[in-house]
Amino acid sequence: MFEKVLLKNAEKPDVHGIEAYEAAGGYQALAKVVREFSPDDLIQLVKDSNLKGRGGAGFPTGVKWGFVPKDSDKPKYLCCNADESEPGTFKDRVIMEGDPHMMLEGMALASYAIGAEVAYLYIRGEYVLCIERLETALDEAYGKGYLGRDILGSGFNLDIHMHVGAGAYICGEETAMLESIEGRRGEPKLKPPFPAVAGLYECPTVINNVETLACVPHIVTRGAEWFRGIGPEKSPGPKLYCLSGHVQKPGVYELPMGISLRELVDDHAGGARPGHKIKAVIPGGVSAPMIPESGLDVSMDFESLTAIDTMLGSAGVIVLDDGDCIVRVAKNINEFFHEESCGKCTPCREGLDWTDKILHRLEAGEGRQGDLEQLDFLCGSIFGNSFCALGDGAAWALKAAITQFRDEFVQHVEEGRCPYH
Amino acid sequence: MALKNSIEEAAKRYPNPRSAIMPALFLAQKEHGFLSGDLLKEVAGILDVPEIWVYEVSTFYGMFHTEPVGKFHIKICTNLSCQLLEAESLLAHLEKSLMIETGGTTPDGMFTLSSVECLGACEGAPMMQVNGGYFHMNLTTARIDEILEGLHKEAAE
Amino acid sequence: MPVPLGGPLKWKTDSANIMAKITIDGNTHDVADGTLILEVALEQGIDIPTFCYMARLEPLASCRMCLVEIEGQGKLQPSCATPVADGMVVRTDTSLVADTRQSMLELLLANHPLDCPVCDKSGECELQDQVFEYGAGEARFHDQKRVFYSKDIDLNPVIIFNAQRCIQCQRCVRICEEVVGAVALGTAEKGMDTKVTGFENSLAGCDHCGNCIEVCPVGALMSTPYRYKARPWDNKETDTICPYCGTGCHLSISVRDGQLSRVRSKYETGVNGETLCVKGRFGIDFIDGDNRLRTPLVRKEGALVGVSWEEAAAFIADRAEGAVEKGGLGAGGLASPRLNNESLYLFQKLMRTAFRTNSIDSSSRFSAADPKAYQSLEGLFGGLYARRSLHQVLEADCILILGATVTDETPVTEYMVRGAVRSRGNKLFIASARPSRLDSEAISSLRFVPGAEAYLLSALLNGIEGAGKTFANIGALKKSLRKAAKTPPPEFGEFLEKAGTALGAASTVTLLIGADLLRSPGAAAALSMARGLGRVLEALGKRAEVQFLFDRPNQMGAWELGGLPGLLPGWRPVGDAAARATFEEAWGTSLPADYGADFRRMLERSEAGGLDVLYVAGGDPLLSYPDGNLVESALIKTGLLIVQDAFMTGTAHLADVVLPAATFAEEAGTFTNNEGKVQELRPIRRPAFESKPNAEIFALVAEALGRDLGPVSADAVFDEIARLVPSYRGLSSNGLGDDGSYSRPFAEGNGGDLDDPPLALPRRTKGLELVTGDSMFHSGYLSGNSQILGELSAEAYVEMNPDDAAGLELADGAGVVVRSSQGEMEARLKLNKRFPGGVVYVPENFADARLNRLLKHGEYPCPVEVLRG
Repeated sequence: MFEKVLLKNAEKPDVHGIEAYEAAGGYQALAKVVREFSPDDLIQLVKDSNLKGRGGAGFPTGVKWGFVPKDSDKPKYLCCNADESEPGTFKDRVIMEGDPHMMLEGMALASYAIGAEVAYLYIRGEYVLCIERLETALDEAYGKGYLGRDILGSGFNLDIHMHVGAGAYICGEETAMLESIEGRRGEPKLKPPFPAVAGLYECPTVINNVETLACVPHIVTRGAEWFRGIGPEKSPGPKLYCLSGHVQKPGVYELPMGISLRELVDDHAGGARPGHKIKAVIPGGVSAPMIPESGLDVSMDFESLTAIDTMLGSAGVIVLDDGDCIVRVAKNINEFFHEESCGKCTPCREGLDWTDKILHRLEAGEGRQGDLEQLDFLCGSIFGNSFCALGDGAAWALKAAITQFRDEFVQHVEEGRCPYH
Repeated sequence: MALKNSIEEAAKRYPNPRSAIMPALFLAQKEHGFLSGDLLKEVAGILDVPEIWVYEVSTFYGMFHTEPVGKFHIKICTNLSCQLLEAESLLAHLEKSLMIETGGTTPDGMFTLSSVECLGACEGAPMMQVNGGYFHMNLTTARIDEILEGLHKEAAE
Repeated sequence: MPVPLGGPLKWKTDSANIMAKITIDGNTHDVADGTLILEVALEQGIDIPTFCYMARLEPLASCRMCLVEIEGQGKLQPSCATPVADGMVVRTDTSLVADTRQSMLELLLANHPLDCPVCDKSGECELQDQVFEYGAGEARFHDQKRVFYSKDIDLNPVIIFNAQRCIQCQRCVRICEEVVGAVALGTAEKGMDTKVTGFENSLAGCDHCGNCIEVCPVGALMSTPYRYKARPWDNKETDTICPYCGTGCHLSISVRDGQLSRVRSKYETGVNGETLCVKGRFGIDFIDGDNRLRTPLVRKEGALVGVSWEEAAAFIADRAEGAVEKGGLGAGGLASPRLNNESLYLFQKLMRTAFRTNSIDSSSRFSAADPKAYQSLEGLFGGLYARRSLHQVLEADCILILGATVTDETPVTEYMVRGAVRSRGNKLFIASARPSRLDSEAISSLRFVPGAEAYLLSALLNGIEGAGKTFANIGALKKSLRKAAKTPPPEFGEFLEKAGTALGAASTVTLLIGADLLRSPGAAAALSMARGLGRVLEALGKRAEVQFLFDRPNQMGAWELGGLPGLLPGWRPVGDAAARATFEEAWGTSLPADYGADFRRMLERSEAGGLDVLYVAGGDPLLSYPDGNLVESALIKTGLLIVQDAFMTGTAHLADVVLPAATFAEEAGTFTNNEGKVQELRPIRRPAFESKPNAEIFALVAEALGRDLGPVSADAVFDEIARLVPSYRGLSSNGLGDDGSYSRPFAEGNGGDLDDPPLALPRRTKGLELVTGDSMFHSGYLSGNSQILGELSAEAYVEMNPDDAAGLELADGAGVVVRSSQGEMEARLKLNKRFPGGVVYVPENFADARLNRLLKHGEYPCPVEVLRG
């Protein structure tokens, strides 16, 4: 049985208050770091742990922290990306509802590492319970001197401000998030300059995901070697997997990185619903190409999934079975991207509208000859040419659905109806 | 006055006034129900920023409403996991129960029904949220009827 | 549309010293590190299609048309936003790149309405051009196109918008924010619903400059006055110079079938590039104003009646004879700084040789009538004046703007200052009576009323580190300067401190002086102190340069070509025998040597019954000169009042002879702009009705007085100017070039001694003080003849700070009376929270308001009361 690290407190009810957190050993990592570590020490520790970002991109966290220039006299900022909006993903919500202090401690540690005295917690506005719990948690943390001026007598200052998102998936993209904090439309920005050099208010900024930050206190208290020992060395650590869709036991599962997808779905989450067989599984949020049943033995880690032209992403695992029409699924996913597109760049804005119209017609039984060829063309035009990963992700996912299950699409056109409904 | 004070308080968290537009709109919307043109102008005036900046933000983000919404804004997720678990038929049920189409508001101004994107509660699909309340998860038509009944009662009080 | 490099539009300077090698389509080049791939391509003549890119704007990389292949990179990269890295290998000519361009165009065409037959942009549409060049021959989209609105939206009276055609390039939004600074346009909604718009679909409050229309690549944003008027190939386009302010923007005026169709500007030439202001873009229709004079008029039995040119000339010959015989003191001439150089030169030649007087003036709107002010001007125009590109002058480390409301008076100059400060980070300081949008770009911005400039400058000098040591060597900046400005008022404190520090640290300084400074009686002292500032900065080893921000197109030309009472062309005093001799020889007659009267003294003389002839060439002193009642009375008492103008002005109504003149658009000539650049005016058509070019009229009048004015063609006159006036030496009428040519400083002189700096601030009244000047929409009586500008700003208003208004219990929009010791006027109140307390502003130009009756010569600002109307 895998020893829970991230969900140890969260799984228990009413353990989100500071007393319970402290009783369980919370804020000791912070105390240790501000008293014994230099910021560079902490960066090195996290580098040694091989912690990779759990927001979707999988970038090595310690390396990212190291990009912040030491000689800049501009203020540094830490931003926590709690905008969790990737469909099928709810792990950050579970952490914030169940163990908000663990995330705050992670934020404080990250801020210490990069020299930030101000951190923004960008949290999606729909996460009402999380916001409540975090507001309380912040008050408690300030009250006990874990935040604010001269933290634990160390001279380290940190203010954490919540910036509440207002319903835009694109604000999960790091530069769009920065724009949103600055009071603008959430449109991604050009890179370079990268946020570590010129991010929020043109100052050095690091953006980390909730789960990523939640790992940091544990790395401090238990060591880099311990962390590296969980799962594959290249992308180690405890991982939260979100299971939903047509699976018996949907929920968040904490397991080592690298577990096989089949094991995750069948052994932990109960497998397909009675009377059904799994048809395909989306491994990492809806931007990730779906894996047909035959591919389920793949390892759930960044490198293994990239190798089969999909991704771990947000670890939002959505299970599709033989009762599910792939065209309908593709339409639903595409509709999401179409709805959430910021509208900045031509391929995503215009292309997803076109695919949306075709997919609606297909599902409604109004498919025409040439529609599939147009979808092929559109996926090709959008992928690689979009300004940010939203367009790319939409095209990637759609192309994979068509590649893996083209016959379903063909059937819709030729039969003039959806065979499943 | 109260709105001005609370906006100014929120603005202290940022180094420039533009950053306070989003929190300001939340505060204004909370007080007035929706963001009329005059209210947007007022916010722009309090923060001393060009009106168009406030307008852009009010239309870009889905949680800001520039038109009136019903007293109870029912937001049901129709994204993938919820869809797989029959959210569409629940949406149809809601349309029938409230006698409005998705996106519409009941004539008495009590209910607005919207279909929304993933709310991050997929383990409890299908699910919905009413106004800024906690999520209602693992919905069935019966459960929905219960919730609606509760809302009708609340409206009557 | 490819944008040329290196010219006026290249805002950002290169990190010039580091070079990088780039191979593009097989050829290797050395370029400055940091150059964009697109810039290299354009320089090499490689065509890369773009929509969202504009050289002057921050790169957006959203249209994705400019994607190119870079070796070693998995995805195509936007060449408009990717800087060259040493060793980079780029291909723009592969089939992948071609396919991608085709795909992007097909995507844009999917929802773009096929409106070409009814769309104004057809024929000059960038989408059409790109599709023709790079697109597929067929559109495969057969679904429902997106529709925002079934009818085009009137965003305001001059801008109309078709949302369906928009391709979201955001050039309009960016130019409105980054260049114009109005921040009126923005983007609403997201995804496929994205649309560019103003607040609540309206641009009622914007500048109406129309730059958004200019940069729109398709027919989304359109000009309402131009709507449905012409196809581009119907238009006959003529390039000329704007007659409104001294920035000297290039205009391209289109005429279709003899009718004015539209005004635009070309990217490639002119200090303004592609931008114009509302006056230049929409205000040129004044040339067809209802008030255009059609025939000469003479006063017979108390009424003005139409006559032939011959009769008008004979009338003048008859009535002027006596004055000519009496000589200099009996005649006077007032020229407008809107006249071109050739006309101005001929006018002063006419006055001097035919009317035999040196009483000539061209600055009736200013109180700087003191001859000493002209001495200081001379000094500024001599050594310190930068006769070079404003773009270059704005590269200075520190820029100080004094006595100008740049946003209203010289809008395109304002765009340039904004661009310079934002891209270079140089330090901007502003000291003026009225707020402007540049205040938010400035390190410090001081509101203060005209009259205090000399004091401010002296206080500033005291604050520059090391400056004190230089005073001893600079005449008048002696120990008294140390006594001066010891305790400046607290509201000056922050400005002085920051500006003093910045000036001290700067290697290069630019001083921009506005028209408002010239209105005050303290102008002479201010100009003298400006010279002093320049000399101190130079003594400290810095480069100091000055340019004026005139609000008239040819004030510099007017002053330099003898439009002043005591000065012959080239700033040479009439008392200088050698100078007189030069012109006597050139003109074949002796010239009067006495100093001559300025306009003030002409009026006084007329009032006293002693002015036999007053020749007003352009300008409407009845409207614009202070002491309106005196002006009216004096004009009536003038023996022979000759008014030469394109329009029936108030002054013309009082004339004895009215001579209909061509507008700037109907005669050839040149203007000298604020940069000292001489630029060519080209007529778009013949003079309307029976009007004649100004030069021809002067020749006619000269002939009537028995003198030959010499050749009057624009070329011939300009060449004469080039021969005789040192600042124009070396220029030739057919060698000015598309971008004009710079005149030069006429001498290295420094204008003689400086005045003693003032020891105290001028006393201010306790009540309100009135200032005036151009507004965003109006400039003198000229703009009043524009139907469009008249629609955009129809009547006078009183601008005031809300706290002052509240104190008087007056609300925004209330009808009020503004009263001075001399007179009163009525208007509506317009509140502006950025307006300083204690000051009110009324625009100068509205004939109905007759503001000048409230003003008194020698007093500015004007103390007033504001009362409920």
